Amino acid sequence: MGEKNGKRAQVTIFIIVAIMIVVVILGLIYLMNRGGEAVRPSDLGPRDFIAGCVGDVVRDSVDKMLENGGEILPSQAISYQGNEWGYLCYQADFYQGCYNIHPMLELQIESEIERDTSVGVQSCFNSMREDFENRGYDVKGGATEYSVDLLPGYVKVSLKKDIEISSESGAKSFNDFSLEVVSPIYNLVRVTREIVNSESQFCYFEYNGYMLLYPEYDIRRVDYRDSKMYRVIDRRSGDEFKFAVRSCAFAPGI
Amino acid sequence: MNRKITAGFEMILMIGMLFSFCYFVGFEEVSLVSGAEKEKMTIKDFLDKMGGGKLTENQTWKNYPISMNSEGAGCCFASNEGQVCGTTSPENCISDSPFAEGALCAATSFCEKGCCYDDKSGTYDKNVLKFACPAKWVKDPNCNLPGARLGCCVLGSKTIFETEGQCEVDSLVFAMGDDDIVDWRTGVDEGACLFLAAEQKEGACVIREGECKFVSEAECFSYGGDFAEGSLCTNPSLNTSCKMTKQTKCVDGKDGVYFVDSCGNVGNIYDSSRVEDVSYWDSVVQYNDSCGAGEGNGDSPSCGNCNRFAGGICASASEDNFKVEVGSFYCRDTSCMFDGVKYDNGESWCVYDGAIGNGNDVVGSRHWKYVCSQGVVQIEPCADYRNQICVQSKEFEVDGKKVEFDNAACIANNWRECINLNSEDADEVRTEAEKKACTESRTKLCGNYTLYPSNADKINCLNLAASDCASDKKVRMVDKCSATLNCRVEKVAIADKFTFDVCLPKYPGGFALNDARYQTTAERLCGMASQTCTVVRASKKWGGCRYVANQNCLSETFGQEMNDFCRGLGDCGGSVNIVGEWSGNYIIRNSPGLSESWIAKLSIFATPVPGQFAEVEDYSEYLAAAGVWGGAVTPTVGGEEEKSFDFTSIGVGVAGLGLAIGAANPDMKGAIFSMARNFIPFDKILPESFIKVIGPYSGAMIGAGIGFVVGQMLGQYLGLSEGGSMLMGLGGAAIGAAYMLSPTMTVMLATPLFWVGVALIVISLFFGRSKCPPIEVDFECKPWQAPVGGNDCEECNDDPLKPCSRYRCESLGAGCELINEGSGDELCVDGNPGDATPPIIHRQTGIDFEGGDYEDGENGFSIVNDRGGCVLAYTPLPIGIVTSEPAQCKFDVAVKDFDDMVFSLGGNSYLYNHTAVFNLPDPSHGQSQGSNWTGDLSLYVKCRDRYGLESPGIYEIKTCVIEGEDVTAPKIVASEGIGNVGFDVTSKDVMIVTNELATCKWDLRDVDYSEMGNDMVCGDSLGAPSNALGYVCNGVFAIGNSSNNYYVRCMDQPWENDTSKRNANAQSFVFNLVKPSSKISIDKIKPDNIIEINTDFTTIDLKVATSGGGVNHFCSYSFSGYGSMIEMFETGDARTHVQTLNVGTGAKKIYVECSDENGDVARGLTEFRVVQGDFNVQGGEEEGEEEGEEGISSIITITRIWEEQGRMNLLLNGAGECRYSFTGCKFDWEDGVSIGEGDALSFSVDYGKKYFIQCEDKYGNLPSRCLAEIVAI
Repeated sequence: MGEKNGKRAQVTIFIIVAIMIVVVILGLIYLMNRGGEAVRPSDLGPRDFIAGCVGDVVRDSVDKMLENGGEILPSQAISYQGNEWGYLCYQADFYQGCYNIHPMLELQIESEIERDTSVGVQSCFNSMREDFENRGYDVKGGATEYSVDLLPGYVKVSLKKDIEISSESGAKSFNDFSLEVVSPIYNLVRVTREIVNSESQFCYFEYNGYMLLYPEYDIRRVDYRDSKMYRVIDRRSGDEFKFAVRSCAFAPGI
Repeated sequence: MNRKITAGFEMILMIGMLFSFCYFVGFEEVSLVSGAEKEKMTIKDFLDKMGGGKLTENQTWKNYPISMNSEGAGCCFASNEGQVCGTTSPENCISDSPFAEGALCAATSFCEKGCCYDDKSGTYDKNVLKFACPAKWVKDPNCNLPGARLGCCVLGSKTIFETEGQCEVDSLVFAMGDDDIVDWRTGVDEGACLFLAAEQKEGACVIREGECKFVSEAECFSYGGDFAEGSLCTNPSLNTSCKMTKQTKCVDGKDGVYFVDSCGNVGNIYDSSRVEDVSYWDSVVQYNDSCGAGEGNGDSPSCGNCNRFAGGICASASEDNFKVEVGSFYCRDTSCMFDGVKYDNGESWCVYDGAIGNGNDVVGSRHWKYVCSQGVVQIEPCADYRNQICVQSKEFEVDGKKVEFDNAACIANNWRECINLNSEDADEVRTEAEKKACTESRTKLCGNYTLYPSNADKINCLNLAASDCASDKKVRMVDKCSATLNCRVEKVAIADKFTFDVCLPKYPGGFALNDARYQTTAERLCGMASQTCTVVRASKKWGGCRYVANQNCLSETFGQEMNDFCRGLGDCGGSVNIVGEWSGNYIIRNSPGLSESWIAKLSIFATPVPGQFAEVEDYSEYLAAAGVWGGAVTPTVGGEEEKSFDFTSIGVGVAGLGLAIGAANPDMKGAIFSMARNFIPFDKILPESFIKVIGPYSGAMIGAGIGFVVGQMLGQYLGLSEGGSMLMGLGGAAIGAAYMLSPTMTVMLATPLFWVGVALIVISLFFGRSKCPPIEVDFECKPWQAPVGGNDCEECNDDPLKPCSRYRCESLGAGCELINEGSGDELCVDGNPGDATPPIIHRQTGIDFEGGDYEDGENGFSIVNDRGGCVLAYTPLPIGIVTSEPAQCKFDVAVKDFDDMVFSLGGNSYLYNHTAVFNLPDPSHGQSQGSNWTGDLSLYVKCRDRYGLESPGIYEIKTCVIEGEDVTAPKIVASEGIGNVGFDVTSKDVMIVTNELATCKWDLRDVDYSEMGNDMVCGDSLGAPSNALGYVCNGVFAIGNSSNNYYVRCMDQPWENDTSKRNANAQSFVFNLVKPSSKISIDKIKPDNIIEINTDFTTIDLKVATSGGGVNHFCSYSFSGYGSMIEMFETGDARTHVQTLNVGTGAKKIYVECSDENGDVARGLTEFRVVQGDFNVQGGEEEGEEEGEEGISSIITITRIWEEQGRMNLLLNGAGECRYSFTGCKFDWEDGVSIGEGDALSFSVDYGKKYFIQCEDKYGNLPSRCLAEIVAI
């Protein structure tokens, strides 16, 4: 008898466990599906929504800068491994040190990011406005003040726009949507400047010695044709800045 | 202890390496200011015209010209392909872009490099075009500006080596900038800055009750907390909420693994044995007192006291699958193992593909630098084609102790310069006039007070000048070669008269093996080793030949040594590739080829030699030069020739004696006597008494003498050897004597003497004379060719530590191709495996020549004149064929195997189009010399593809030459040595080349050939011209004080005795030898005094002023002596020569040598001192500055300031302009309010306000910061 009860209890436990598993799975599926839906501005609040939306836009643009040597599309580049590597220092002649063709690289990248993201930033505000308007709010917006600054450890996005969201119950105003996007791009650009300055002056950069002093960076160089392809990698984040240099190229055999 | 020394040394080395090796490979740039500019344009303006301004490297390669040699090439600001500031042809330059024909971009104003900077952010970018700079720009390309000076920026517990401006930005970002806390320290080098971080005091910062942060004092101050230096946040006495944990982490800027408390603060270095030790969580324990102190603790599971230089650095244990006792981090071993050798972090070493140096680098090889970087071996290939070599040092001395540390670097291979040195003059003996001139110029220099202020200095200088100038020898090629980096003197000593020195690179450069663009250059370079050794022979006395000179050229040694010379130039001749596969492209004529056994020995060079590496060279250790350069190898004959016995003189002497004796006997052959008396006054030679005593025998002597002469002549006519002729002469003498002694013929026949004579004559006929012409032994050196086929291609893909390249791949086989280039998955493959199709030959269309045409035949074509007949002799005939696939083609005058064919048709590469030009001699010329020359000629052509498949059958090119009487005079087709001559030169060797064998004469008058007074030496023989363009005649032309016209005429068929049958030039070849009115001299070298700067380095312009001499002056400079000069960048056209140099502080001595196109040389030196002062200029030279004046040392200061009735008065130490600002000491000059210009200034002031004053001198130089901060009270 006791043995029979024991088996029944065992079966019951199995059933309960199975039900729990099913419930958990269904719950997870529900949560995952829910997560797949776009987060609505009205769920988060305007400031958080813009921070997330603009943050993504800027992050994508920063990645583009890292990939293309600081430009949206490299103006002077060499094809290598299926990608266009933008030249930061270029000398067309043989045996001569290169010209630094992108001085003040931080400034250039900042303006490139602003140019690249201005439409995206505006889209973020449009999305926000549409959502609020769909929910019965009235949204008014002013002029946009937008700038990007590269700073150690992050990209500072200064974004100011007068937004007033009103409904019958009242109105609320927003102005400052500034945010910071964590990125090592500022530091990588500094290392890049060291490389370009050295390549333009000495046709060489002792990157192994540099890595000994600054182990947080991993610098790789591949010589392809008569150019040097540099990758400056931030070991912590894995982000890398890619660019090419053609300096003191040698002609074969002459 | 040793580890510490090593680690410390590594620090020094790594920092030093940033500069030292940079210096090795550095190429100095120079800026030049010139006239008209279009500086208002912007780069964008130009780029916008280029269709979006997008440029890929493929386009660059397709369009970019190889050199400036093309017609009209120059510097183009913006080319059609989007290149900025490159050398190209004018049509390749966009229409409204600045273009400077014949100029290098560095010497143009629109491509001048400068420094682009923003002093507020501390950003300084070097070598920037003015157009491209969005900020401030000055002419100093190396940014030697005060603001660019690096210092140590202390940001709490972190330090960064950067400019002051950058430090200000960083301080703001890290919240250190409030209240002016910008801790930027000068006088700290990069290594010390790194260690400074570790010395920053840190401690627990209790912000509010329970909350604690472990930070620096400065940071704590910014938090407003209470700072407990040296305490940890887990210290119980601080009553914080932070507790001990078993967690660890890596910390930015530090090597070790650190415990972390429950608040996330850093604790002490991870030590698994002390994880529960409460006292270890109280206060900071220095790393020297922590576990494993002094070691790297790489791969230690228990100790986190990592030291990156000693072998460990913090890393994630989980990512590396490392089992650590506590926490998640450990010290990753940063050392590396390679080939059984352990290397520390940062050590680098060279790896080679085979033997290196002494010209033994194999084709396709490359030098590799491997680096141990944080436990990973990284590859740094030195530039391909051996354009860089890997040098390695192992031992260094630090504080008197030897430290072993492998350190390698890829440096530029100087191989081109070594080969160029062979064009230097041979060892010239300094003339007395040159000695005098040398002494004068050097003595004058010794009087320079700045350089030699004391009498002792002057005396030393004078002694040195006297010693130098007394030397008989000028600096010779071998001296220069020995003193030049990466060069070696190769002594080619094959035979007694075939010996010379040549300057070769230690590490020969590689050639683009399959790129037709470089073939001409490669052929020219290799051609330096194409030499002819003339083996001189003479016939032996008793027949056969003996060697007079250069016999050893007939041995295998000739081919071996010449091939060593040949492959020492680069990828030339016979050599092995990186897998030891032999392939040769050379021709040896009249000497044994290279044996299989000798060739097999070369494969050893494809195996690296253990322990061999290229060392950093020291100029002072170069061996003294040895030997003499022989120039063009044309051995002279007779120098050691055995003095041949003059049988003719003996015969004449004997006969003379007989004639003299016979004179005493009036009965004997008076007719003979009287005839002989017409020649020799015999009675004056011997006394009459003597003649009378021997008179009876005189007739026999006369007969013997006549017989001897006749016998000799007959022997030579019959072609007998010296011995044979002598026997015949003796036989003749015997018969002659018998005749004279016998009254009748019958009696004579009965005398034994007669029959002895007959016997000697008969015997002499067995000793025929051998013809012994010289033997021309040739070695023709051609660019190396890869072995046919593609069996070894895959060998290039086998070693991941030696990635394949185009050069490497193509060296493995003519059929090898590199695919996926630039994808990262490069592979060397056989381009056409299983190829079974041979190349098919067709005539190349589009080729024509004046007065003739081509007629196609069944398997070939004919070259005919425009009437279908034979062509004129000595007419250049171009021939061209096309092959159905890339192939190499050869031809010969007989049907031969491909490898035995002598002449190449087209270049060395595998090509589609093959062309050559040749001319044919007049057949009658050869026939007149006994050669079987006919007017008909057939050339047989064969081609071979990359897989060794030969064209089917024989392709025949037929032609014929018009035969008949030669009525054409020779043409002078080339000359060498004409033009300018040196000031002290009294004669000049000039070479004339004619299209046919001829003799030439010269004169100062334009007269007929026969009237010309000076013969030239024309040593060539028919059918064997010594120059590619024809037959050579040399002459020594005397030079007077002024330039003269020289007239040369030639006459053909020198073998023709009847000059009326020969054809002479009706018009002279005229040239002029121009001599300068004075010798080149160096008038001034700048700088020559003290330069004051306040940066570590400064940019100076070395300026040399020359005068006299020829039209073009070229100046070189050196820091080490006259042995190894570097040509100044801006030189050649003007009389002022400029080289921009980046120099550090200290005493400097620069040697200068200038030469002109006449070959005259002037030398000088300058000494100056660069000292570090308080001020430095902000800009470089101003445009329009007086030539030769330096724009560097001007320093302006305020000597006095006082206030009077509301006005501030300034006195300056020189004229300048001053401005003030209220914003701070480093205000922008443009933003300042002008006070005025002059050396005494005044301006009204508001009381209580603080004025920051900057002044600029009259040259526009601006000190780095303000000169005064004043407040009017």
